Amino acid sequence: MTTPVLTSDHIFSDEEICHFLKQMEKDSIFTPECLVYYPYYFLEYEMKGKRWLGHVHKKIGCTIDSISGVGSLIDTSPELSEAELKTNKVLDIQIPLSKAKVYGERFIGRSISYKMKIFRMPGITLTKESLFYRPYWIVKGMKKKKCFHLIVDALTGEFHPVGYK
Amino acid sequence: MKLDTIIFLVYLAGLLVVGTYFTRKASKSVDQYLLGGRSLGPAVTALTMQSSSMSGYMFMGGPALAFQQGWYALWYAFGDAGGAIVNLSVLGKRMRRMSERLGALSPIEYLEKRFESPAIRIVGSVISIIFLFGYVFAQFIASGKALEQLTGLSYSTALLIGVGVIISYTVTGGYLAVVWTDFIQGIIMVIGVVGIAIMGFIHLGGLSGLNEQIAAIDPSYLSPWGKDLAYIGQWGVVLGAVLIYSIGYMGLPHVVVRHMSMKSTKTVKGAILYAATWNQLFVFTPYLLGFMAIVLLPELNDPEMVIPTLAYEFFPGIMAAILLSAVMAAIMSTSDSILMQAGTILSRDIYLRFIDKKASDNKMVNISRLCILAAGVIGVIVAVYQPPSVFSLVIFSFGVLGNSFIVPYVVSVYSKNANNIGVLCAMIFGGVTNIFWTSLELQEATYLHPFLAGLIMSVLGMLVGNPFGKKPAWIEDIFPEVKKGYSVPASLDKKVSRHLNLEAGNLGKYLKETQVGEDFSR
Repeated sequence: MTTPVLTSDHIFSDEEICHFLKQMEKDSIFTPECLVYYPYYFLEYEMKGKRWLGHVHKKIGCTIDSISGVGSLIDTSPELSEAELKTNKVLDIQIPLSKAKVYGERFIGRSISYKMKIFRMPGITLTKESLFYRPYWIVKGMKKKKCFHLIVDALTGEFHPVGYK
Repeated sequence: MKLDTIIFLVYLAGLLVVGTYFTRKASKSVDQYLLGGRSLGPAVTALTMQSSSMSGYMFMGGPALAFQQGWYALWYAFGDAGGAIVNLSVLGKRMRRMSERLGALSPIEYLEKRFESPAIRIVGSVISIIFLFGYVFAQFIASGKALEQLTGLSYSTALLIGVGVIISYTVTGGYLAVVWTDFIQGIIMVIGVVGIAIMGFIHLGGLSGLNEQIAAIDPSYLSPWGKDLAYIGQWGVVLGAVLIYSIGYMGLPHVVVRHMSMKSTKTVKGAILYAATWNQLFVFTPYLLGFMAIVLLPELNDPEMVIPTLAYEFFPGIMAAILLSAVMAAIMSTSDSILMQAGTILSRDIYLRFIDKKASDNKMVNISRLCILAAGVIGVIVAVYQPPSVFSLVIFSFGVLGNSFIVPYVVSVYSKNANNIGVLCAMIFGGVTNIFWTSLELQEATYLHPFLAGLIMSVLGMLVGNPFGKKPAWIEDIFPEVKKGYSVPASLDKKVSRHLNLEAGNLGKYLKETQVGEDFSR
């Protein structure tokens, strides 16, 4: 069974990922197990406000993790295209879009107030919204009969250990 | 207008141009600014951290102590030279791992979540705000003195302008790429200070010549026990002087927060190397200039003006004005990060957490800015009517923050048995002891430095309070990971991307439930 989703096309292959990991850790054997797709909402806002030297009129974007609701600022809009994926490779969303919008606005607001030198909060308006799926490789590593698992971002190669056994 | 004032204004304009250039180069959106130096390597991170945390004290407080006490001042420098290394080595990796597991954004929130105690958050926030204010007041006084020298205005007027500029810069600085401007200023300060030291040594016949001439004035300046051997045999004072900067950084919220935001533990190692190199180059030089001033400026009225006066002595005109402008700008930058931290603690850790959980972002910004404005008003009043020395104010504020937070932060990552009551007692015992020891001048009677007394009481508080508290149930599960890293080879552990923590947890659960890993085809 498949489902149509928005995702990224240009991903590292399983060979590339294992080669990359092998470069960092020569004594381990890496075996790719599967590619799974993790859901995020992409929200883009227009920011308008006054500053000491003129006006602020910029775009700002974030992703909201559709499972845990945690926000993250992003540098550029993700390049997405439609794809048909096996249902069992796609994680189910647990947060509806309406709730994600509330989280997104709060997250962007906090990020601005926390980190920007501003006298007053600028106004923010939602201009784009979409649900997309980011691919992660699940890779099994083996070193001296000890087994470990990693999730590897298939777009960037960044990784994190996972407690899956 | 005085030429030096024009140079200062040109310097500030130059910083604005540099800041704007790097920001525009980095990105056309605000995201890069908000992501705050995520892509910067350990070198720039370490040098920025060092240069922005040392300005007021290193340029005024440290040399003043050396000018007044001679070689005794080096006890503080020894501690400072190793401070960043101790801080990063002891807390760096473990705290990064722990904060990742706790999902804490601020250093106070970290303590609350680690020990499951809102009381820790309240007490920690109050101590932080009051003594971060004290720390920033020292920068205000230093800015007044630097501007007084640069512009020729009276101290009060220079102070008002200085504080006004700092506050405006903090609340409306917009997209200034602070990291890069700090980096450039750091380089100018090192070149300037080392330049003055070289000229001084040439003039005085090297270190031997300097010592001979100091000995001719008063040989007790060369003693490690202070002028007139004031601290002879007082190991409790000397140990406190060494410890305050060698371990004190582990108790400063605006320094500790950097462990929490490091990209990976690999960054910690690189930052240690760069910070160590920078410290050896920079930390001792301002003290050496204080020694030189004993010979070169015997009539100096204000000991805190050693570096500005020597700068004009050896590099009259433009060079001295540029150096002083760099000092002033660095003071602005240091004050800015401390004020922002204090404002954030008040708005996030107190107001949003305990007073109004549904506060709007606008309200949060207003609370934070009001806090900064209050710091400015109180700071001006203190600095005009009862100005303490930069040295004593920094040592006091630094000491209380260190005594309140070193033990909590260290036990948070080294002891799984530490709990809420123990940590609360450690914070209160440590901080209060330092306040009383300093205010009642108990050092003279006990020969024990306030910082050492506070540290002992903080450890005692931990031991006394801990039997009455309860440790979080989950700590046993995560502690081995915090101690040793993930159950992956060490070469991979260093490069783990911490921001994928949540995804890793959710994917782990998903894979366990679905066993999708058995089917490998896409």
